[in-house]
Amino acid sequence: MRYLVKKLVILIVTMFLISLLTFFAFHILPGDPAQLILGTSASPEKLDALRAQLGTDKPLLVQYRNWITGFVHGDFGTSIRYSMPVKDLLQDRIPVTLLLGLMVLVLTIAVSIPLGVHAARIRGRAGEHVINVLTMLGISFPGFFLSILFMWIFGLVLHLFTPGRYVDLATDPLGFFRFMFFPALAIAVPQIAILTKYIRAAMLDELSKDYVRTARGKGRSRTGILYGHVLRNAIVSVVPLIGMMIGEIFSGSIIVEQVFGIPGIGRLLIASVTGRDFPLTQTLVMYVALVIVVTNFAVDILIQVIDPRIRLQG
Amino acid sequence: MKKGRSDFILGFLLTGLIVALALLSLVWTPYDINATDAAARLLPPSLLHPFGTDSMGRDVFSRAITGARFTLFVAAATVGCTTVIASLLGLAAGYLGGAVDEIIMRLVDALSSFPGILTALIIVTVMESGKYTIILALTIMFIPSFTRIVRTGTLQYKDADFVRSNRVFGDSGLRLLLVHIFPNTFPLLLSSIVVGFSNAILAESSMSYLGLGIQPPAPSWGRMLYEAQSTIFTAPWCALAPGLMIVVTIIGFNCLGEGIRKRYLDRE
Amino acid sequence: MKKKLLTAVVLGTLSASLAACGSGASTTATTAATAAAEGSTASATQSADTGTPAQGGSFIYGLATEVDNLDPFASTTADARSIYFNIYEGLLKCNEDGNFQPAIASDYQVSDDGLTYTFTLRDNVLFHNGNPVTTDDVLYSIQLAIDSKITGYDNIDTFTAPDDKTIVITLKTPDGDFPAEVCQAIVPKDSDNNGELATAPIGTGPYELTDFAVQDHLTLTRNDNYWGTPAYLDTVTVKFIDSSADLLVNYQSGAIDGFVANGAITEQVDKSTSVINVGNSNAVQMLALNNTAAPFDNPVVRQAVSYAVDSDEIIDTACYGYGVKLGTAMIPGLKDYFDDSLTDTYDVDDDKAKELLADAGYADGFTFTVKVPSVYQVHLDTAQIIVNELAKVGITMNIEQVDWATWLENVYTNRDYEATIISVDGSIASPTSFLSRYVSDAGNNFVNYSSADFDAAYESAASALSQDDRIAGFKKCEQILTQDAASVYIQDISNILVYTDRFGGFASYPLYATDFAAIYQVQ
Repeated sequence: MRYLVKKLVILIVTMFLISLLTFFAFHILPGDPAQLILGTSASPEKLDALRAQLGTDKPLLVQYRNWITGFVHGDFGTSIRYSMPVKDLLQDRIPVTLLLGLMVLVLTIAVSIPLGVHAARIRGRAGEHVINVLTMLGISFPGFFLSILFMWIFGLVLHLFTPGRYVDLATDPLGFFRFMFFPALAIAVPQIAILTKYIRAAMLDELSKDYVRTARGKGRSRTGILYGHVLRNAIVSVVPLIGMMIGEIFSGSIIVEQVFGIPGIGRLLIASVTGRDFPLTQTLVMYVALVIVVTNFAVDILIQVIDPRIRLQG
Repeated sequence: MKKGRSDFILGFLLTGLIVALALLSLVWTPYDINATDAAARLLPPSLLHPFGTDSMGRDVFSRAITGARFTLFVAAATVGCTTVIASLLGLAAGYLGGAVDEIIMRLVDALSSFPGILTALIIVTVMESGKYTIILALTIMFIPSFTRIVRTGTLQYKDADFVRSNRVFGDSGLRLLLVHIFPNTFPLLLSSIVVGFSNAILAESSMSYLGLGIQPPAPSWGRMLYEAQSTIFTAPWCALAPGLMIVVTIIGFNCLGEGIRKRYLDRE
Repeated sequence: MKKKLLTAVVLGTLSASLAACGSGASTTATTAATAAAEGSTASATQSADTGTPAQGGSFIYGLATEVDNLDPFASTTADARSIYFNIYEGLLKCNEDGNFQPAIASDYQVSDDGLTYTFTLRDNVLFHNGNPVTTDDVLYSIQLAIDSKITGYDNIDTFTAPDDKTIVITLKTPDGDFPAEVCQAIVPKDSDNNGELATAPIGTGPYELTDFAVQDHLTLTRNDNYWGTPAYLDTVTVKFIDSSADLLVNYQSGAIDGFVANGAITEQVDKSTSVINVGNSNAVQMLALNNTAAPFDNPVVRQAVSYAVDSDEIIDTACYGYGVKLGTAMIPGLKDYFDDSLTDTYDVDDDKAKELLADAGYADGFTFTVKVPSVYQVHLDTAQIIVNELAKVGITMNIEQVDWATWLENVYTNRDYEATIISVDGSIASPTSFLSRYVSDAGNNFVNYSSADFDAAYESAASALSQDDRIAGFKKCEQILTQDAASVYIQDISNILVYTDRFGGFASYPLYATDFAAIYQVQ
């Protein structure tokens, strides 16, 4: 329980620091939102009125307090570029990015576990080298290069999907998944490579432990041990890594959404950064950071539930 | 055979090749990297143009090897700055402990909850885009992981016997830190530095791909890839050349990192 | 809040044309001889109609820049205007030949002194919201245009509605461009008090906006209550695609039916199933030099740079030859006004450039930075070529890419730059929209050009009563600009519209406009 409280306090402090960093980073930015909304031909009176309405005429600390209060109550402000509430902009995009992330996660886990286990089983044989080379290649391809290659090879040469023709989940669920499979794969490849390596290492680690020998001594089959105990323990030991992957997956999706033209959070984020739409960027950055911090917190708790021994180290 | 030997050999070969090409571009390139020639556009690879020419008739090979120079410079500067700053932070946090540790680590935690690319994007927006901004952005992006490593190392050696005995002999805190503790954290840090190189190259090319990194006409691999996208059907070599340069460089550094890890860190 | 002090600038008159290069404008541009009394006319029409029009169907149009604001009174990009051309209409409307034809007004008269315009409103014109257009709506829209500092509206003295079918506008001074200026949108009363039209436009045009998915697409649906000839297609979807490279991928994969391409992209399109329609973009691509920033405050230095820049090389290399060389701040599309004798004034001559530089005290050259908006690849490519050309005469040019918002703020509005590369288009089809920005105190004079001679020449040309004087007057203005090398005038990058041969009916205007009502599916 004490551990949980400590983690919770750290979570809150981290969230507070994130909000401070985000807010002040964006207030060093040159550019006056009122000016950006009204355009350059606006009269000084109109500008002043809008500044008052936006609250940008108040001292920074007051602005910060108002922003945080609004954020907590679900009021994220108004986008400068699109003149609509940030909340409305996010509503349609969050599910897209979350689904993309989820697909990446599922793909990663579905491929890495069998691959990692297999690599551990064939230790020392030629096949292992093939896996080693593949994982090395996997972590060496930048996401955008993979995306371009996928678009070219799978889209234009093999016609497995139509680049550019993104379809809504609601209008055509099958088409949506068909389209999203390739960007998801582009993000997943390096993650698969990393996770496979870790699972292999964790498996080997487990296999060398005493209980495996004991079990073997009792005459249990190799496969039974492998999948019954070793795999379970190995997976538990890589759960923290999966927590860390959430951030990586999001980073990947920022670029990949851009290349494939997927209307998700990442693409909105790049547009808001280049367009200096700072109420929007501020919210997006805060939102993403919160998702990552909270996920990591959840993973910590999950580990406690699965394997309380780790508490001793924490 | 020593552990990780094949990794070292491959790593040295690949990084050596790239570094050699980058150095070569300092003194000689087959063609002027910016010389355009409408008559010689989109030529396929040949003896005259080993990697072909791009849509403005520029020699892709000359640009790709010059790109290596820019990319390696950014990566080296980033890793260098990060190592210095993160070592100071990590040593302070680990050695002093208490409130200092708490403050540094909470800041590092907060910073690392932003995806790296996000931190870089924010900094590039706040500042004017260019070579030095991208170095600053990537440095800030890498500080958390490096700081954690140095701190862990410091904690590990702070109470080690040889440090204690030196303390008894009256060595000052600073001396203990710099002479006895820091060098011991170095193998750990070294593998991060090498992996940091490949991460910096990945990040720099991503940012340049988005148009937020090195400015044209300086050839950066990410930028070259972006420009090549429109001709990928008719002239795939324009995209493949910089793309494969990135991949080869990263594989090189990753192999080196793997070799270091296997030789010095794995205790299995 | 330094910007508060800034002079108001009408951004509506500036825009950067899409990264589009095109060819053969000289072969396709024809001048309509049927000039209206005052309106300048030009057109770059090319009939590419094939097959018979079918009713219905849908068309997906790809656009390389993102349209985020459809408010006709706000500062918007040329691309936004090319789209809302289909949504809004003014009292008059520009046609393909550059003539101004009645739209919301069914008829109009001009007094002999050119100061009083009397418009009669057309019966039964409905807004997209179903309400009829009334004089209240027209008066509201005129006031909004005045408040929004739309070009020409500051010259309005009075505007009244003597009865419920008539609008009378009196001007302070005669203005040959007034018919072009009243093409400005008419919107419902009180519909745009706070910029509401930006994302929810209400007009009277042949298409209405039915869906606006920010950053992704917008959908236009045929207005079945349209007063004129209704459109063929049921819907037009405009998809925003980030780069010209992606446009090609989308076109090849069938995700879009048509788009505006640049030279490089056009070369890669499958010509057997595509129609390639080349026209003028009606914009002046220039290396804009800040005339108050040293060393460009010295006309000799600007001339030297003009001699060093090789426009032909830029057209060939960056645009695959698809562009028309300019030499002055006027588009060839306005054929009567374009002084083609200026085109070769600064034919590339590196020795002359070096000589001039030495005269100006820069024998060893100098270094400057060009800020290029990163959304326009063609301008970035142009910059990369100019770097080499200037290097030959000892000038070092550094390129700095800036995003569009920063460009508007720092370069266009605050004029905090040394040089930039941009295409400037005209908001109306008239020489004034290209030349008025060089008047010393013009709010949109972002190159900070200042010349008493030019101001006087412009003044006399703009108030000229005869067409001949007007033409001679504006040509004089162009000559002064070229002599002073106010900037380096490169080319009119042509507009290349690429679409699948399943469609036809594309129309070109001497304006930056895409007329979706003319497009049909081939039977």
